[in-house]
Amino acid sequence: MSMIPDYVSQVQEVARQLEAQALVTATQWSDSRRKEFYDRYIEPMLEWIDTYVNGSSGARSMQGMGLDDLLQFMDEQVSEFEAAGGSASAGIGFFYGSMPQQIMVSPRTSRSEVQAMPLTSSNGVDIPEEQAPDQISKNRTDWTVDYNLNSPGNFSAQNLREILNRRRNN
Amino acid sequence: MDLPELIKPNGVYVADHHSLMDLVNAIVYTGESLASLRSAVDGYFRSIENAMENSIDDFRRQLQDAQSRLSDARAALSACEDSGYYDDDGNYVRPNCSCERAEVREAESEVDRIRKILERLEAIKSKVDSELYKYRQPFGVVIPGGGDGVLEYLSDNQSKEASDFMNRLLEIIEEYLSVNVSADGGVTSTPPKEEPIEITRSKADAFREASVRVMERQRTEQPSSHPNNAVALCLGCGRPVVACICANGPLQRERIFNYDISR
Repeated sequence: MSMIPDYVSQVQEVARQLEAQALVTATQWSDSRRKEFYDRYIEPMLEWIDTYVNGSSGARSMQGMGLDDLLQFMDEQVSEFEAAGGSASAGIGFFYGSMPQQIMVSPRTSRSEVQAMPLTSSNGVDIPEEQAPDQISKNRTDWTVDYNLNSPGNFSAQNLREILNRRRNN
Repeated sequence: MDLPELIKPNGVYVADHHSLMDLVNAIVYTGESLASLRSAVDGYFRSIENAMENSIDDFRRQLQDAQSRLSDARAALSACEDSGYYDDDGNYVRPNCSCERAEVREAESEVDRIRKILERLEAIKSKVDSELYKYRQPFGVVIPGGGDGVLEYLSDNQSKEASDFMNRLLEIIEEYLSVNVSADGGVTSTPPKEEPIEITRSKADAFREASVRVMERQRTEQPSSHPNNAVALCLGCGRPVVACICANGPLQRERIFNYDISR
């Protein structure tokens, strides 16, 4: 499984909060000024955010890919790069370790982690704190030796959970 | 966005001006969050670029070393081949250079192998550079910018313009309502009117219901919406963790009034 940060979900969450508040406010504010304000600011902001995530749309043009495709593209290039470099590449697994600390997730699991910060999901469900120890990134070689899983640094969130469960049970 | 019909297309209709404050807060929140996300996304892309560049540099060094070994092997082969001599009978004694020849072949093969890898890695890096170049183009109306430019425009321009506009509007509304607002957002000249719990709760419910509606729309309209459509939020400020502003503290954002209330 790929390791793609969930920036798309996060951007969409920001847009969701803006749009939700705009909908609520629209029930309390209902005159021509509101129409002017929404036409001039709220709608364009939401359209631009959508364009940022999904790429150029009818009304809004943007160079290059939307964030969702771009993250996928980068992930594919990283995989190809690592495969092309082979075991001789000093970089096998290096992307995992070099990702920003606050984000390290697969996009389809929407799991983010920030130090010991208590988390909740946008659906209002508490996300259990995963006991991911620091040594995952520091002692990568040991993991392979002990458990013979994927190459170090290529663990998915699911892999990590399996590893942690095995460690706990051993 | 599906909005209700205007109740007063030609007049003024503001049932609850606090709702406008909530909207300006949401706009400021959006701008700040997008700025944080922009920085995080940029850091992620740069980390990939750096890691690729480091790896390519490593292979360039390996190629230099291999070329140096090839050069040494060729020199050794040449020296070997030059070491032939004529024996006492006048016959030329050809030296046995099979080892040197094998070493040259091996060194050539190694150079070829590393060069091919390097070319492949540089081609991949070039594709990445090309996409990131587009992503980093500044925002423009005539010539469209890239994603980073869009985020910069939203966080630095659009959200600020929107909140300034809204603040001016609120100023007028609040003057009309004779509500003086202090810098910390509290009411000064008149006792603060606490909102009844039911109103606060109904506001939260309204926001939750609106969120669900937006989420449903995102699911159906946006192909990139993820199946579970959930993202981790900080409990302190309710923002996505990248955009967290409270460092897990109990702070809650209050609307800040920047205009001069004495006017």
